[in-house]
Amino acid sequence: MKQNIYDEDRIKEQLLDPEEVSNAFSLIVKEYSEQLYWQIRRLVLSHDDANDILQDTFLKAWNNIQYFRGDAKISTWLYKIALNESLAFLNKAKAENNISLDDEDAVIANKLEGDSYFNGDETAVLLQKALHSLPEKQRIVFNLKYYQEMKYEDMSDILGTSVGALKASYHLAVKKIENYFKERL
Amino acid sequence: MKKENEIIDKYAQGNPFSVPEGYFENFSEEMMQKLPPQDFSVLEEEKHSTTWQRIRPWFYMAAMFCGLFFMIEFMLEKTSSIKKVDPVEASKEKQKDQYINDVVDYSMIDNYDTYSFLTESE
Repeated sequence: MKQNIYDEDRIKEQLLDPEEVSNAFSLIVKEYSEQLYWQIRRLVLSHDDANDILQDTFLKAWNNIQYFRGDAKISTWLYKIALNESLAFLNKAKAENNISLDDEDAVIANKLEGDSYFNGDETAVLLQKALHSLPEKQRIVFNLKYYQEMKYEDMSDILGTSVGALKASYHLAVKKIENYFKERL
Repeated sequence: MKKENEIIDKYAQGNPFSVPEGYFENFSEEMMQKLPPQDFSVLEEEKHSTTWQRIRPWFYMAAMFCGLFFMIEFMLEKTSSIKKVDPVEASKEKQKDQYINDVVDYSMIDNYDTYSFLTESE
């Protein structure tokens, strides 16, 4: 009988069983696709890019499923892959387009305006510009805390940074975003 | 925390991003179809391995350490038995040598005399 309720311990056991691994993985995809999607989307902005990265994330997880260590959380493992994939995508895009910091605001605006799955007003665009003015890691910390309300301890496992440093990073990000708004509104 | 995010809360109302209709509902099924077949031989091997196969490497390692331990123990014992000389016996031996040397000195016997004595006695 196929199991449909997400039970992390049971799924970890099933990942070790060749007959159950496919069913267990489909439950993982169902459980995490939406939250991973939003995390990726806030980093890369466009739906098409987020969709590609999300698929690559699960593909990578599937290809390495045999090496997944059962003592780690499945969510930590997936977030690590998703964030690494997103950062690799952003770095590649930056290198290919050779974007300077001054041009970045215009690039973000164009990207959002060109995306049929973005329905925000001017303030929403300004918020995205403010977020993209942050260093990548600070932006990830802000997104995970503000939008996902993730615990600092879980974030620490994913990002390999101490809780203290993450707290400092979040407060710094909040200050920077507020200053960005104060200067422009 | 709430007060700290006051300004951001004001501008970050609602989610300006959207997705195509039914995107999340269909995602997992479409994703599962895209996954390549996997070779689960490692899992299979792990599943069917006997207890002996699983503990074998640990057993070999333990045996190696035991062997090493006995070898070191044996060598230490050997070295200490060589060095173990009774100080009283050693001193007696030294005194005996000293006595012979003194006798030879006082009797004024040199090597030639000793040689002659030995050949005559034959």
